[in-house]
Amino acid sequence: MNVVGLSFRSLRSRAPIVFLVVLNLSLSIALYIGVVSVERMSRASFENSISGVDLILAPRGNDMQILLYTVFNIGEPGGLISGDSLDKVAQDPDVDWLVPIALGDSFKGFRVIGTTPRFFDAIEVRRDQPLQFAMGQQFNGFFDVVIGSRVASDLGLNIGDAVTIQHGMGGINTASHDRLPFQLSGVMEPTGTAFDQVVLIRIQALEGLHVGWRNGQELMGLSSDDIISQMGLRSNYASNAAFVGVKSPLKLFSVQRRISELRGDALSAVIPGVGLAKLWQLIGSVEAGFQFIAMLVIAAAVISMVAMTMASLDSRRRELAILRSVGASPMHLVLLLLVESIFIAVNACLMGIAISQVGTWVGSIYLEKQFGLVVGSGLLHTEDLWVLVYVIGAAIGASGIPALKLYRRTVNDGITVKL
Amino acid sequence: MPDKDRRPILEVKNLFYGYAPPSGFSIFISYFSLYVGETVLLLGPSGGGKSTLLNLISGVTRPDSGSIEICQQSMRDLSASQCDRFRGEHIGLIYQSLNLIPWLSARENILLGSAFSARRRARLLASSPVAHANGLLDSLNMPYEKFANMNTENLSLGQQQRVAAARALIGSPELILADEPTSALDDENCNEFLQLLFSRLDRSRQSVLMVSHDRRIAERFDRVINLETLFGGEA
Repeated sequence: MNVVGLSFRSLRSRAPIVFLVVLNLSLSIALYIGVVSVERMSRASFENSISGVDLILAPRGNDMQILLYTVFNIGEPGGLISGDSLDKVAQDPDVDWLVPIALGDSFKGFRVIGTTPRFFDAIEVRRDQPLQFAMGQQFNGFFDVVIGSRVASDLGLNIGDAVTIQHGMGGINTASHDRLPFQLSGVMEPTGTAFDQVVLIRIQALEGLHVGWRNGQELMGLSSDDIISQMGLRSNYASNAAFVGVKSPLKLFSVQRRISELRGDALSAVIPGVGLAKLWQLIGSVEAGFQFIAMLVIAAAVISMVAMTMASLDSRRRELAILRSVGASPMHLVLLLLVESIFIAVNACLMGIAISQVGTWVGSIYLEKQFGLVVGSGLLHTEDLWVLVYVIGAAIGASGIPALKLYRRTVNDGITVKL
Repeated sequence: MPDKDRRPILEVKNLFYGYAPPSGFSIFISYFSLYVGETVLLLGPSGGGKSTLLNLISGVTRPDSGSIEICQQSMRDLSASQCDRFRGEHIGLIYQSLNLIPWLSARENILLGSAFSARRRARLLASSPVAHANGLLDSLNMPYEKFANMNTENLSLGQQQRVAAARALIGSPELILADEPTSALDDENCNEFLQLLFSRLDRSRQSVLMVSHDRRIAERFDRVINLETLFGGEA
């Protein structure tokens, strides 16, 4: 029976209160891990939104704004890029592909994006993971519509259903392009990105349905046949923005430079990663606030552990004297206290990990449904383990206070039993 | 047997220890010795400096002057942590009451006696410390099958004191110090306690120094000394 054995037996005798202290500490650790995991998941969700896209082309403007309206469906586009400018960029020898994006209309509150079939090959939602179809297929007919998983689940649409595109972002009296035979051809798999909440149509169809419109009013609409015959699948169209892939990452900056030097439209070429980093800086301060609060909760739990130890010292005066009498030095007793704290902290860490894993697993079902956040597998990262090291360190450090009290007391009391 | 032929196991010379004001209480012992195999009772009232004396002998409190030698080792030459280890190796202590750690079983309380001393563990020639503790319980009229794992709070006062004696005895330390171990016991338990303590004592190397105000036990000891006499001069 050594000091460690004595510590365990002493803890066992106070099992109910020790359990509560462990629970307290473990919940605070779970909270911290939860906050960090949610931060990591939302960051991953951010970054997944546009993997595979090297540059976002848009009329000159603020990087973050461009990112928000092209990738996150937030805000309004800044203007148009002419078909000629798009062609010039597309013909750049280092550009691999270009997918135009035309915005402005909606379908029952979901944003409509006019684009080309290339969209489905080029966009990746996670590294090297192209968009997949849960039902149906991509554009075949001229008026085909593809929707994101969230649109499908919210509206309960089936392949072949008619879709009525509304002019603008919706509202009570907005005009509808209700004469045009848009119909659903495909539903995408959930991606955990903003693409779950979009309605995709051919860019030529989007442009065609606005021919004859002025100031949000239909003056002289074209029939569907007219649109097809006029617009056809012509390759010259204007768009609000475009996703661009380059042939080699090494050429990224030269392509970006050439785009900004183009004559004609003033264009921005945003590197998504750079834009995301700026955006993240903005959101990051909120995350840091949450992390700070979670750390305070951990600190409070450590303090409550110390309080328990301090309180127990008074009732343990007798046993400390007995231990001194059989040859334990004050350092032995301090060690006894430290082993108890370490035991509590280590158990709290293990329990905290378990709670956080179960919690995120349960929470992930909700998160994915509500926010489209896809929870990855490896929730616990090595950097999280540092938190555990800090917690154990803090527990040991904080035990210094009761340890000092105990040391002074045992030196004073000696082997005399005081009650 | 003349004193000069006998080895002292404990020798106290010119010991002075005084408390700081306001108590101002002090004790002085010019000479005291306890020989190997000897059992000595120090008779004195409560509050007469007994605890102080035990703290001094066991090396927890340092005297203001004078010397204490146990097994030819001057306590003054030992550092505080060496004192603790020395106490674990050579001294077994029994208190008046509340001797046992409540969160340990009876057997674990006994084993505590040798927990901090490799030498005392090594002296347990019989198989293992656990077996030895079981044997001690048996010899205390507490069959180990029944009592070994019992919670100490379920033991009677007399049983608790006997377990405390077993803890002091395990691993045969040279000096058994006892602070009023019988004053809380009735006659029957008191007799049983002393009988068991003395019967397990190895007179060839162990000695007992007991402090008490309990006169009914005096006849069992080799020597009885009044605390006042001791503090006044020699014994």
